[in-house]
Amino acid sequence: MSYKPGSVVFLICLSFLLCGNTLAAADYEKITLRLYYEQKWDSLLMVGEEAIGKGYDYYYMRMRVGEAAMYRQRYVRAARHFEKALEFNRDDFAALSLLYKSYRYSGRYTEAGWLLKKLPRGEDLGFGRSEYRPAVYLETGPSFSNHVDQFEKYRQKDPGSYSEAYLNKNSQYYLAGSVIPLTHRMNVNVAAGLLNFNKNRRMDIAFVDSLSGDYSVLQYEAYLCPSFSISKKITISPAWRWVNVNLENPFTSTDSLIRRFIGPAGNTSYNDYAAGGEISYTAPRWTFTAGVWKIRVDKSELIQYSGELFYKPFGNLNLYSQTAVHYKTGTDTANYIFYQMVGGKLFSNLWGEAYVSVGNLAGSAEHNAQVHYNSFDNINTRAGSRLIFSFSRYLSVFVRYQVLFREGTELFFPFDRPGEIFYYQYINQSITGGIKWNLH
Amino acid sequence: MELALRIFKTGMMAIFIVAAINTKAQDSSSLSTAFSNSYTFESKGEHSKAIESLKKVYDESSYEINLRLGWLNYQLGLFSESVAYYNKAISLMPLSIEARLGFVLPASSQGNWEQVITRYNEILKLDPNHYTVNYRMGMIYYGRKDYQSAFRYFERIANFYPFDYDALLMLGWTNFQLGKLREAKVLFQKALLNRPDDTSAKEGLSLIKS
Repeated sequence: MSYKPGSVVFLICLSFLLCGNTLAAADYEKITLRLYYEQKWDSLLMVGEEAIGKGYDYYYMRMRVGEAAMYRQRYVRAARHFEKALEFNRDDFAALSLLYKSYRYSGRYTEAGWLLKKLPRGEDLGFGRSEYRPAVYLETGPSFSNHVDQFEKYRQKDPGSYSEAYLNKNSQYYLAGSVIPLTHRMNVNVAAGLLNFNKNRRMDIAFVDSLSGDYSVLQYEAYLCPSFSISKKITISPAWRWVNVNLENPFTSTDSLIRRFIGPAGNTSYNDYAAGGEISYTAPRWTFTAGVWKIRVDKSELIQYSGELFYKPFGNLNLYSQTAVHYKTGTDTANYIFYQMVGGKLFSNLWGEAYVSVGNLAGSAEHNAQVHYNSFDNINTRAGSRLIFSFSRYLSVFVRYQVLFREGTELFFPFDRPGEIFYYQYINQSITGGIKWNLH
Repeated sequence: MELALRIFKTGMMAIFIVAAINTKAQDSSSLSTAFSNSYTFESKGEHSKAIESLKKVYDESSYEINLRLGWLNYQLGLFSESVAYYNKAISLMPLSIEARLGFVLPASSQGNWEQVITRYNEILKLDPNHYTVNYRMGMIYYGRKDYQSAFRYFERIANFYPFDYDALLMLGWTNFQLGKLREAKVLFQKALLNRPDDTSAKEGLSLIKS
């Protein structure tokens, strides 16, 4: 909606008029009705809220002012007026449907879900229909790493007896999932993923052999997260993520001495998991989420505690932020992770998000275990951005770019002292595309 | 001297009594004039003047003035003011049904149906068989498609007024919506006995036959 100079002049004149403080109910009624028909939403908001403040508070006034707030994308204010309109006229379909929209557009999905049961199914004119239908999402994309180059650059150059390193090369990622509504208070998110990491193993045994072999690590993942809203404000979401890791040993040798170094030949498989859940409290402009998970990565187990705040300063999704602090602790490790995301509407159907996290992500889970970092190498910093294009209420696509600043390792035994692990930096960059389709 | 003082006192008392009676008569007269003027202005459609004439003698504790101001403000479209005057009248006469029936006029004009239902329920506590209120409550619930609740009210007035056209017709339609077609048919036929060419009753019958 564009501002016109005429509207500004009108608003100023109206302000002077209202300063007189002489408006009676009939004047408010007349003015707000005219402003409603003329679709002068800013003026209607101003006059209408003043009228309400002076006690001229009734169903039609609340509906008009609520609609004005909605057209100005002030969804929290709109919801407040429609809630009051419903106090005057409990089962009014117009107020119910507009309140439902206000909740949805301001991201208050739990409250919208609770309202849904009051909306007559046969006449819902499309409102809430998407909440009864499953949403399907697909994601895929490659990841590129400069690990091999960085290893060659920073590997230990001193003479030594033994050196070993596992290097990340490019990888691919596939994910398919669905959010299935079971009732207006409960849905379940199920997903399956496949990750293929191409890797390289290096091993140098002084005076014996120098080995290098490519291999791949295949990960099959399954995710289950039922979500229950126990009230209009509170949602509980337990979550399980199971990861089956399959890797092959690229080295074989007939020499018994070398076999002792390179380990058993063939494939190895083990299971990782993350199990826990979140509880969320939603207010008109923010949602606070607390969660705890038990995470298993190879042979180590960790506990992660998280607190997240999703904030919409204007009560809509034109601008929003998410701040999270995670704390993970295990037998030999404990660290904090700080995450900050800022997002907003860039154009009419395009949203953009940018995020950064600081703190070692390795072994942690994110977004209620929808992401599980079970790699060995530390991930000290991560930054990324996401563009989301919404074709309609039912179909949206996104593209995400992410860069991970990671720490590679090399196990190195110099001739003159005991072996130790040496660290160096490298980066992984990934581009992921996805689609979300609300079946209808 | 004592006699003169007694005569003076008696005279003064008489003057006070006469003055008091005169003031009371004047008050009563001005109130009567104000009401009379308000009716005259109202009949000419000059509701603002009608209100002004009553406001000149406004007494917050007067049930009659508040009730009348409620009505005149409603006529003028000042629904919030009207609601306020009717509320005052109800607080002055808590058992008043007429003030409650007045209150629902501006409240429904403002779309405040929950307030209307509250007032109607208050009336039904005072007079459970009130025809108008039972009929209107039935209509509200019928409009909300809550046919079971609507049935309760229409059935009550149909029992008290078995040949009342409105009661028969709406009870017929409510039965129809509840799927009780046999009962609906009988009620539509009775409504037609009251108003032989009634289109709504005929429509109901045609829907049952088809």
